[in-house]
Amino acid sequence: MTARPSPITTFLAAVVLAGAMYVGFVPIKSGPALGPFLDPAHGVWAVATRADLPKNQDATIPGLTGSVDVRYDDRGVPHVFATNLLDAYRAIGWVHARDRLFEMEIQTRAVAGTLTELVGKRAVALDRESLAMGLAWGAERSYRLADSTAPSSRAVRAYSDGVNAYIDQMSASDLPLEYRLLNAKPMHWKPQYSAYLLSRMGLVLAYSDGELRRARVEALIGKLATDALFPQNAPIQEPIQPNGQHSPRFDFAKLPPPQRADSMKLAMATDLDRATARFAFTPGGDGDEALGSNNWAVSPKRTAAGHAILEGDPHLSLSMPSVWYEEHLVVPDTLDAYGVGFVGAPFIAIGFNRDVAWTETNTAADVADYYLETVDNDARPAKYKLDGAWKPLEVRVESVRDRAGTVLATDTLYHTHRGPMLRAGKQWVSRRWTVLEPNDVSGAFIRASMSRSSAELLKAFDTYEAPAQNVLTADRGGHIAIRSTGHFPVRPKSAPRGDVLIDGSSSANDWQGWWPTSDYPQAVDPAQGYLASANQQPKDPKADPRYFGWDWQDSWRAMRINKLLRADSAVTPDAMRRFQTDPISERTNIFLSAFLAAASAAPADTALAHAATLLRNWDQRFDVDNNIAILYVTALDELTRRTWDELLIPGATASDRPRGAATPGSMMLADLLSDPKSPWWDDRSTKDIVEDRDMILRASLLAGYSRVTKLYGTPGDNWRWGRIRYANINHLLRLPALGRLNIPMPSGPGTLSPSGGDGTSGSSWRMVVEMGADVRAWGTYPGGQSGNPASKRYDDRLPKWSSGTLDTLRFPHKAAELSGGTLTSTLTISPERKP
Amino acid sequence: MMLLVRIALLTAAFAVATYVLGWWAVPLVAAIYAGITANQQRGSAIISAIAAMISWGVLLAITAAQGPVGILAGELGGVLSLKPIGVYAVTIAFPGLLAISAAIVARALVAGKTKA
Repeated sequence: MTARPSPITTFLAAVVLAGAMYVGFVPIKSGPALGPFLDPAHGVWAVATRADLPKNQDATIPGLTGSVDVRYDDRGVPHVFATNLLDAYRAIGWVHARDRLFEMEIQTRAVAGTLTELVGKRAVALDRESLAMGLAWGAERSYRLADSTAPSSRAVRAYSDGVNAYIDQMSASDLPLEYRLLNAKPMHWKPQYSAYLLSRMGLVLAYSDGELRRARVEALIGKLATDALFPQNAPIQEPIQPNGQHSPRFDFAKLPPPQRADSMKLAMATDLDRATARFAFTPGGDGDEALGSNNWAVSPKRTAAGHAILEGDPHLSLSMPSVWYEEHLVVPDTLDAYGVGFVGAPFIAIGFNRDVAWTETNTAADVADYYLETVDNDARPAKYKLDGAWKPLEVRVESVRDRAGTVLATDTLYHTHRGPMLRAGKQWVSRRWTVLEPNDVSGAFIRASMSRSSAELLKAFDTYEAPAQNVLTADRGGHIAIRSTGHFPVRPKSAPRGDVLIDGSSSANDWQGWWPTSDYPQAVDPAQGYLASANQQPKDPKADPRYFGWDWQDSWRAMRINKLLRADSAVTPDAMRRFQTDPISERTNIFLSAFLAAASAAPADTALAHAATLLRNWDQRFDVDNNIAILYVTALDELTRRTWDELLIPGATASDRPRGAATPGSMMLADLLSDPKSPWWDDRSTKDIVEDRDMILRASLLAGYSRVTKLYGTPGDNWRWGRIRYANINHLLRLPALGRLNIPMPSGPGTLSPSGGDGTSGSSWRMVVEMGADVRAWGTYPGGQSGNPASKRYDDRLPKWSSGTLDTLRFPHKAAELSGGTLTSTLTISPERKP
Repeated sequence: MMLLVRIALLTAAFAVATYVLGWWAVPLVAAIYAGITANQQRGSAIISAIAAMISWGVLLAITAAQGPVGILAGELGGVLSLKPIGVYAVTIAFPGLLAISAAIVARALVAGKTKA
């Protein structure tokens, strides 16, 4: 019996079949084709089969000279036991690729300006910015000029071999989720990509366009006021290099009044700012405050157990997966180092070995200067003027392409001998920046991980270039030391400061070399028995008045750390851990007192009195359960906006970003509190009244109270800090489902674990190391070791991180020490067999 | 009884074909089955669809035995703006759609030739 389907049924079936085959075969936009994506055997579901580490696995890497034993402990940390250094780097390349391949690629492409090829047209603008910045150009040059026989060059090549061995051996099921979502395949790794990654860190940590912001501020309020509001020297001195004082020094001074705005200068400065924004990525949401880092170390004489203890707590933009990867590398008699490294590079950046521990915070020295250039042709320059002669410009033509190779944008980029040059309105401006100079950053970290003492460790960093870091160390001999390390330019007398735009027509204005290491801010075994850094001004200007920078972070965190350490003469590792999430800010008391004094000096106002009562009863803590912190923070925000209204750009509306030319640090606001009649207090929006300090304080408190009640209702649980402010850790592709959002944190503005507005920056790795006979260490970071969102190792560290607790780190001497319950997985990597 | 055996065999054929060749083997197997059975029975398209869906369900269950498919469904659901159950449903429905449409078209073609 034959039953032929009706023509209509057949037609409909044909249409459905054609449609299903189409979506099965053809990718939708930049997403995947549905057929291979949904395939339950090899498609996206296979990602689940790679969530857990296999109990045992074998792999091969070409060029490996001996077998490498990799043992993953119960926290998913690989302990790499190799017979030589290069094999260890090959193995860690393989290991990084297995856990974080997509992260390695996307951060490389972000520097290379090839994100569009991976994620589609939405990245064109970002790619153009990256190419204009010249980070990849600088990294390629650095790699090209490096001695190919140097240990660091060999290390990055070995690392690259490991990464590519993994990529070449991947099965269809090994493809990470993100590649499947983007319908992409992993690119092969090149050794210079490690340099790309370090350039990216340079961008995050050592980028400064302060001169441009400053030019706009100067156009608005005049030079005198600008110098006062954005001073070279912090008005509260608690420097990294101890200055012999036992408390912070307040160098507060009366602020000169603002001058009248100069509209011509302002227009020129705005052109500059807009144009040179292409030198950098669009700033993130959190601003500088949450990008601070802390580290401190205590001498044996001030610790309970009589061993030096070191704490490291770098703050960065947070991401899922994390920028860090925890690892332990062992090569007999050569290397036995544990810590965190960047995926994409073979070395441990922050960690410890059997003899010494080390960590870094950002120095924030001024290592980028801008030069106004004269060119032969404004529209299409070929030459620039230097010392009266025309010099040829280096010209780069860079294109942004999609995955098919179609050119989506092309830019002609120019370089002077100083670096990249861009057009800014009617002017051309070039930039010299240490991050773009040839460097051997990997070499410094590799040497550091093998050092045997704090002195050796600092020596390992002698040639370190950029980004400048405050390297802190403690060793088993009981020594502690710190040094602000990096290339710091020697500026000529004709252009002694880097915070202003410099005339580029004379080579006499160029940098003349680097500071000698002996001049770096530093301290070894200070009498006070501890050392601390929190991105504050490294050296007291009374000890060294030379220009070193100006964009220092407010000293509040440094003050808090020093206060805690001064008060504790028997520090324990657990106390160090508690300090990391200490919920108190040293600035709170200053502003709280001012608000309360102003409120009590005024005629009774019900709302104001209520707000003041709430603040008076506040314990000044930024705990997750605190119900008053939000009122204080909002009132301070109102105070900041009202006080610095002179810095609003004329004509800018509330939706303009930025609306203001710049905002002085809260140390300047604290300084201003001592001058109740300063013209800065006047609110320019009220024409008939000249406000003084207390009027503005009261208005700010009232406005803050009004804002908070409007947003969150009457005081109570809705005001709970943990419900209002939290950490938001975005996935690298900004896919909310793969990020980890709304995480309550014991942190607040100005605390040791500072939080910014949108919570996307914060503590990226917390570590405490006790340098006893047997080194003990604790640590954690937000996220987990795996980049696979289906894995429990993707976010298993978040609970401890958010509660301020740490894991005990396993630091085995031998592979055999990891067994039973402490051993999760074994990976044996062998040399590739010759056919 | 024969029907169940038929479905079981067809399910196995879909599963093996998907595993070895890939997702596009589903309409191929369905078309072949419809062609073979075009002169013998009605309902081969529905049988194909049921078997195809079961086969992908079985493959998914095998995958689930090797890893946390439930967690992945939750993450994927978030990315695709679907509930996790929706991600499963799409995965199971897709081979059904391919199989039933391919079977109907194949049956029409074969039956047409036979008639001619």
